[in-house]
Amino acid sequence: MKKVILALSTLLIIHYSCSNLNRKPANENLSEDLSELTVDNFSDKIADFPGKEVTISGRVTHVCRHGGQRLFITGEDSSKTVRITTGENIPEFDIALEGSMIVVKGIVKELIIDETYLAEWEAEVTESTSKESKGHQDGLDEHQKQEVEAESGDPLASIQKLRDDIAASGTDHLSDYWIETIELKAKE
Amino acid sequence: MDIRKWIRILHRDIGYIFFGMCIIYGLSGIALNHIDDWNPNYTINHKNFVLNNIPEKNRIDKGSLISLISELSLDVTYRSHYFSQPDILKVFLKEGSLTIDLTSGETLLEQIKKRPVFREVNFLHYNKPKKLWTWFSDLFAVSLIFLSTTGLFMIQGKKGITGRGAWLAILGIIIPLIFLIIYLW
Repeated sequence: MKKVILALSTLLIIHYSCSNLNRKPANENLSEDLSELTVDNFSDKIADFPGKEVTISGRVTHVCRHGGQRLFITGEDSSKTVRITTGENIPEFDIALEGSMIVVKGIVKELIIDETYLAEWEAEVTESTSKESKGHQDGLDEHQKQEVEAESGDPLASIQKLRDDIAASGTDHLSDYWIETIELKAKE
Repeated sequence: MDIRKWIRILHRDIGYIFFGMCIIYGLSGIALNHIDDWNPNYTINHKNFVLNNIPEKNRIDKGSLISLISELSLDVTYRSHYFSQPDILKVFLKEGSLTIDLTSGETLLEQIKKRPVFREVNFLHYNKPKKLWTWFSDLFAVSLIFLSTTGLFMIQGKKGITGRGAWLAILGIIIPLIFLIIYLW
């Protein structure tokens, strides 16, 4: 038994040492020659990309403090941001990425916020505890969540606001887009 | 074959193996129970002050900001910067960030440090490594069921499952049931 534990410990130490020697700020396998989008040119045509693989670069302006599951990148025009979420190969984003220029390869995801979505959310709010209703907001964009909290913390008010936004948009839904990471590399 | 003897042996050795896991999940469980009250991954401190000697916007560059930061008597290091709004400058530091209102000089210093131990146990509790960790933590979960079941039969007599143990076990089942009745069912 002692020998097994010693062998496992030795393997662990060797693995840790080797992985530290090779460790870079983020995933190192990203191809250098991938044609990159920027936040500036991606934001305007994001609706064309759901389900597609893209490579995009930008400066990290914020990494989620609770668990590092999402970050935001921006480009020359800082009013435009793109939300990046972790993927299968990236368990969490290091907060040290804030301020760095990164290149992300990932899949563009879309959440359609329509009347069906809002009705389900509304039903949860009215039938469940407030904790469960908060859980439904997870699909929403970070900024929309912040709006919800800033307004009154009342999920029903935010549902109504989203209904108003849908009506004002002239379509039957709103879309929330983000990129789920496959590979990530810090450029600087 | 003495089943009770084997129960004791397995309970003992599996208990030893998963001692570390119990600590990991226990600590992270406490941390996650109070997730609304604190950040278990990072210690974040904010400090507000007013900067009077901000360079003009068109003169702001890496050099001028390093110079500005060096005058602040703060133990921080410049990394990069950008304008989050026309008059709001965000300076990223190795230790956090400065958010500077260029018109008023009002500045927010955010200092962030990784919180040791809790960050690591939460990383595991959330199953962020996935892959092999999923298997190991599943094995731990099954072992917990085994340990709790075998634990019922470790002691014989009045203090065992036929006596006092039965009442305590029932109490442990009733308490979560009460919460389910009140909050879920």
